[in-house]
Amino acid sequence: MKPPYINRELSWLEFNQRVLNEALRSDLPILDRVKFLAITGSNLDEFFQVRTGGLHTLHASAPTVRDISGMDVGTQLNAIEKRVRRFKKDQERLFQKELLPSLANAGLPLHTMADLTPEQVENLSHYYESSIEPLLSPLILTAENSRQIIPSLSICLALSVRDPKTSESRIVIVPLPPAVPRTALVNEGGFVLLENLVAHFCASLFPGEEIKAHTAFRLTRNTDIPANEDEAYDFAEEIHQVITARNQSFPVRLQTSQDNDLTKELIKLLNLDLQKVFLTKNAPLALADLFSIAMADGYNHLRTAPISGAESPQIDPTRSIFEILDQEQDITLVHPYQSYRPVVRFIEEAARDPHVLAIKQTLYRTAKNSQIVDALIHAAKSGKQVTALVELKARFDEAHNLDRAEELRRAGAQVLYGVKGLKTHAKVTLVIRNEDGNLKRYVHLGTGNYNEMTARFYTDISYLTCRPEYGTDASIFFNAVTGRTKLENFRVLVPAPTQIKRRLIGLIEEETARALEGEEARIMAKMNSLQDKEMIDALYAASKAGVEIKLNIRGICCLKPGERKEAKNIKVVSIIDQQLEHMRIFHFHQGGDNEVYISSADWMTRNLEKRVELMTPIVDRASKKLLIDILKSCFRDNQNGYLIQPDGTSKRIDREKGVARFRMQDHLTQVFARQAAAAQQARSSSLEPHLPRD
Amino acid sequence: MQEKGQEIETTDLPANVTISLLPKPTPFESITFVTMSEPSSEKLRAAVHIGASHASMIILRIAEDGTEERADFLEKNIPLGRDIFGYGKVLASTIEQAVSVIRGFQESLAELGLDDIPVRAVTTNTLEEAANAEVFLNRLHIACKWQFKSLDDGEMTRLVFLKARRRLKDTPSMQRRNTIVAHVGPGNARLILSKRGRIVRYQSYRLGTHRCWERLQSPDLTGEPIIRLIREQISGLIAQILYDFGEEDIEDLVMIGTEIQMLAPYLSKPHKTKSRYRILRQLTSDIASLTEPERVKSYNLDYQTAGTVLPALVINAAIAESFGLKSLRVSRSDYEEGLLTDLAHPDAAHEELKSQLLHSSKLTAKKFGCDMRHARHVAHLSRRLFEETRDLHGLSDHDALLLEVAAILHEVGNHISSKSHELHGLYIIRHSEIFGLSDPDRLLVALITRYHRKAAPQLSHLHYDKLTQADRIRVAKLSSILRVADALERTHSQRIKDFTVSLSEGKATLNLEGILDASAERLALPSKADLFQNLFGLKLVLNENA
Repeated sequence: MKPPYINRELSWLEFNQRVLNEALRSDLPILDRVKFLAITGSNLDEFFQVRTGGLHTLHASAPTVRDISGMDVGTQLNAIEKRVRRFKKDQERLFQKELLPSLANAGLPLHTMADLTPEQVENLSHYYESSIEPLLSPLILTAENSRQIIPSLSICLALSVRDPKTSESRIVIVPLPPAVPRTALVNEGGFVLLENLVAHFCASLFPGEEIKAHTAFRLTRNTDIPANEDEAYDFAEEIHQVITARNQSFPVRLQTSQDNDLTKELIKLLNLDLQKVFLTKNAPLALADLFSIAMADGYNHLRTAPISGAESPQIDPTRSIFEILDQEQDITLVHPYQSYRPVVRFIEEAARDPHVLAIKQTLYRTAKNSQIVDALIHAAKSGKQVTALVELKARFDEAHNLDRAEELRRAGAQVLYGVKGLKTHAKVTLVIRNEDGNLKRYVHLGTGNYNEMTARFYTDISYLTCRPEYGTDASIFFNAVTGRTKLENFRVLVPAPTQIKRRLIGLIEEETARALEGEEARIMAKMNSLQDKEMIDALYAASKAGVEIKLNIRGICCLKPGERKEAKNIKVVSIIDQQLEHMRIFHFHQGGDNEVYISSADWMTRNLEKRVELMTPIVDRASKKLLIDILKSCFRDNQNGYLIQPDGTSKRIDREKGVARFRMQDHLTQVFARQAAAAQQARSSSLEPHLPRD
Repeated sequence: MQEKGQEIETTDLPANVTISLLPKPTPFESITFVTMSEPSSEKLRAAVHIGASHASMIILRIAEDGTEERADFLEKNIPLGRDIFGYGKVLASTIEQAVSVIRGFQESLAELGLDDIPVRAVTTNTLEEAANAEVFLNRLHIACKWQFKSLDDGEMTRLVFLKARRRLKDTPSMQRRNTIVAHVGPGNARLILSKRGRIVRYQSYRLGTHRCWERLQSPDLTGEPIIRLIREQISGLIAQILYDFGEEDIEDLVMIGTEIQMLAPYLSKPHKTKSRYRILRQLTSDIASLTEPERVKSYNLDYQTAGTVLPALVINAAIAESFGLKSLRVSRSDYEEGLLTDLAHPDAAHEELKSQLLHSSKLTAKKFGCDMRHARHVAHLSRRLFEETRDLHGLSDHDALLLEVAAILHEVGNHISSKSHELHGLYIIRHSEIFGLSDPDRLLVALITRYHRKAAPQLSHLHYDKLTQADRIRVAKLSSILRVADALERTHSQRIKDFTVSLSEGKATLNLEGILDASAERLALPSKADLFQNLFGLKLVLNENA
């Protein structure tokens, strides 16, 4: 019998398909569609770098290793290739047949050089000569130097250049300068792609010579290179080296725009297996660059307006967050429907507050020019004890994190580059205040990064509290990551890698036991990915016992739904909409006690066993109700929801007859906007005068 | 050998010399705190414990009503037990590891702005078995500035008592039953028997998890063979336990200790403490069948305890088995954290402990066939004389308690022979388990009884010669009071009920109540009041016309 699991790579590719499906929707504004296509491109880039990179490495060392679905490495690589080729075809067809005409209709045509009038070409030639040509550096490509001269993920032109005097040909590559925008504006509207522009004019680089053929190409290299944590003397230096190594690691994908002899020669020179070569004639390489078109200024009417986060009714903007917490004890915020500002304020106020002794925070992916990091720097400079755990192993953010870490260090903060062997993924901030000789601790616990930029379109939960047991546990957490104590002895918070998995399995088993005794038993959980086999098995056992299980999983789902006894009580829904679903909320019925948790961790082995994560029980009644309502609304979405199928593919959930339209993200936007409006009204109807001091 | 000069200074005290005495640190009174400066906040206290497998620190917030709340808790592994029982000393690498862990603790205190709160720093008493215990303590002192003290047996008993008391309070049914609280520590096991909520018996055995495990030298065995090997190794001591407690009708057993409490979730249902012998035995087999890394993964243990968890289980199971119990209880709280809470909060249950100590002293006296009415009355008279002469002797409440215990026990030596019974008493008390008495205090009590008659303290006397000067004076003063009280009870008839003391120049008059003719007592006085008169420079006079 085939193991009852879905391969994680194929499941992930189906997720990307769901994103592509959004781009296929003709009812969406054109720039939204372009954005979704760009997301699929950037997603796929990362997938190749990390996932196939890792599989190729594994293939070389242990090709017979099987995944939980029973596939060996070669089989997985073949299946991925097949699925990606089909996907790429869909992307190209969408771009060529639907998006290009719609963009042109909307006044944003993407031209080829051949389409342009002589005046337009003339104009572009000035641009080329002044702003591009000086930045080009043609390099002769040989079998020996490819590793050094072809950067990963950059678009390059390959040219076959012939010297008429000697009749000798050589292959020259011209990497497109990263500082120049991918699209060039054309007079009287529209764009051309930079590679087409350079290809058109680049003969000037080779005076007296002839360009026989050209192709644009893009090489993706493996980035799955672990840092050597044990022997690294200076971990920051080690991470620098990993970043450099990535640019020279083995190729995992070659995308080309032409299918000519030059392409064949290129493949030969790079010594590439054809499995890794993807010809993309009908869409630009690096679809992620389409973000610049999707976000182009002046075209707001062609895209959905971003959500402007509502104010939380609990938070009076005229009072300090600490004062509010003293009164309210718990504040739960749902981003981006509710503003992220209070979280930034929490840290900014702590930095300024003379009673604050210490601020401790985990930083995983911070925003460029992060206000949060600025506040920490300010706090450190003003003599507060600042501890920042900057995770240097946060993939693709390493370089940025190194810079910020150094800045913090210079300001006098205690900076930790994560912990050995584990990525620190927990999102927690601890502020310690001295209130008349008493230590009072305020904690923020979240499901998302401390990144005020991504908080605008990632859906996440923020939980702020001054409950002492949460404060003590947060303290233990930071003492554990600074190596002063074990990741144990928590009263309320549940840490990984030591406890989350055990606790979750325990909770699932408790529901199972209740179901077996004929009690009502239910689990609702929302996460990005479900991949851990033991977790899946626990869910199967629960389903078999009759526990009603509803899962809202955005990305990977290795659990195989279906009519089998072990799965028939499990429903898996995925929502792809304007905001990136990112919050993790888990609910266990517990005979009516309703245990609710938020977490930074997905139910993946890497999160549960290889990362430092936190799971936070929510005991505050109002917060609990809010989170349960959010979970329930996930399973009502009949506009942007998909039902995961037994084969891992997904099927859009159609609105049943007589059922009203329900779009979860719209629903939440409205709920929080209404709440904010009501609170605003209440505030403005009861005026509070400024009184003179006695 | 002591020098002659010292002898004169201490034993032959010139009259009218008052000596200021340093109060001695005691388990439940004047706990010495290591402080770097004056405490900034009365409400916060910390305790640090270097145990056999972990070092830990608690920061407690103590409310005005005496309730405590954990403000922080830190714990790191240190393989001290392995070193002590495996190598007989603390390895240099472990010493440095301990230094860095303690420095980490200090950093986190400093971060909270708490580097000046009172910190109680102690080590496991098994450290005393390490050849280089002093080197270790000195290194910690030099590197971290904290003066660690080894937790002596008496203090350990106090801590176990507090745990047991909590259990007894939590479970009212246990109050009514004959309950054994068994603490299996790294080096020793302690058994406390309580009947109707009172502790009636206390015994400790050289039966510990680390001691056992290191003696076996981590054998490469799994399953039943390793269980058998451990059982064979502990069988002698288990037989001793059976001999000591075999006649008692034990109805309940509470198990405490680092390892067993870590495993509590696998022994009983959530939020429950009750378990069954069968489950304990099954868990023992399950864990024995796993390798250490497997145990770490399956039972959420750390590598420090993955080894010793097996002897812990086997010892606990053997204890349960020897009492023929089918059910038992395991505390669900964290052992280490509870220990630290009690260390940081030394005033907890002070009165109760005092009464338990007096109770167990009386049980010991009874065991050796003392005339209990006489013993109790001498204790009463001693206490009264102590109270009445406070201004003379300047001793502490804790000294009064030691005096009372010594008075209760002053005739235990009669069990061997009434001839030289003060010397027999010294031996008996020194080697008896008296619940709530630390090792140093037990020696003091033994010496006070030793001097309740015949020779006055002399530096040439065994045991007395090893005391510090301050302790020698305490013993001398307390025995002098006991001697007088014993003289007042010369007739063994409790006829002197009470008295007051009035001081006048060169004279202390005891105004006796309820007696018309105190000739018998007056006759006894010269041989018993000598020490009092020498020490305080006062002539004792009896006056029955009060």
